[in-house]
Amino acid sequence: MINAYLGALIALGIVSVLTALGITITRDNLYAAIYLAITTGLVGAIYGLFGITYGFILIYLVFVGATITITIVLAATYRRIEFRGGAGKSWVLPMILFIIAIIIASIETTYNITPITSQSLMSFVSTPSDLLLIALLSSLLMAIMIGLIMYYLEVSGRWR
Amino acid sequence: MEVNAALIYGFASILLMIGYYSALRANDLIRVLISLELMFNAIFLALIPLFAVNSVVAFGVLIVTILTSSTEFMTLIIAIMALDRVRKSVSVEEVRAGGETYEGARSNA
Repeated sequence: MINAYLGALIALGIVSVLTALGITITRDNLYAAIYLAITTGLVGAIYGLFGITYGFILIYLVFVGATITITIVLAATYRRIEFRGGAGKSWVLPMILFIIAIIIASIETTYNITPITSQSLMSFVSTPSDLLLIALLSSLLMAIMIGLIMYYLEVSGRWR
Repeated sequence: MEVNAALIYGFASILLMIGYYSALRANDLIRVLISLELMFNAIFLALIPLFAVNSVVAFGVLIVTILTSSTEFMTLIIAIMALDRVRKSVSVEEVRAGGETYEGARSNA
């Protein structure tokens, strides 16, 4: 018997796979970016389902909120470009075989995942060295962003 | 309230393969970027079983993955915009080795 918890996970997974298929099927880049945002939101919802609150917040804030929003804007800028097939459809067969192999290989695992509490993650963000790791990664990200903006201004001829 | 990890690995592998197929069939760089972000979604999904082993380590891996992937996608977005400035196109066919056209454009300017 499928309990409500497993049913919610299967429903979230199936809808995320369907929206991911929408990325491949649609010919418009803007709709593909919106399908991507929905897929990422559903993956974040699976994190929330397992009680990983910090992962849920990180995915929504950093990934959906910043990166995919810029991707949607970029896709809206170049939305008239028509999508045509590059590789042949014969690539579907080895991909399906890979998916079946992964499921068969992992079905015998003994990892049974249970929802975790947020208290177990509080020890991570309360340690000074781990806070330093987050601060260093964030400052690295900002430094790379500033460098990229300077590179773009140099390429576009506005940086003198 | 327990879920076998095979279910999550199965969904993650399906998302990864859809991302690969979408990237293979892409004709413009925007679609390649979207496909790469879809592949990272599969990576995020595959990280969930690690929380069952050691949640603190898994959380550190998740932070590093999210921040590095965001930086990588920002780099790609700026690269696409710079390519559009130089080549006036974002087609995959425009991505070739060498920067002769860009150097020529700079020397003429």
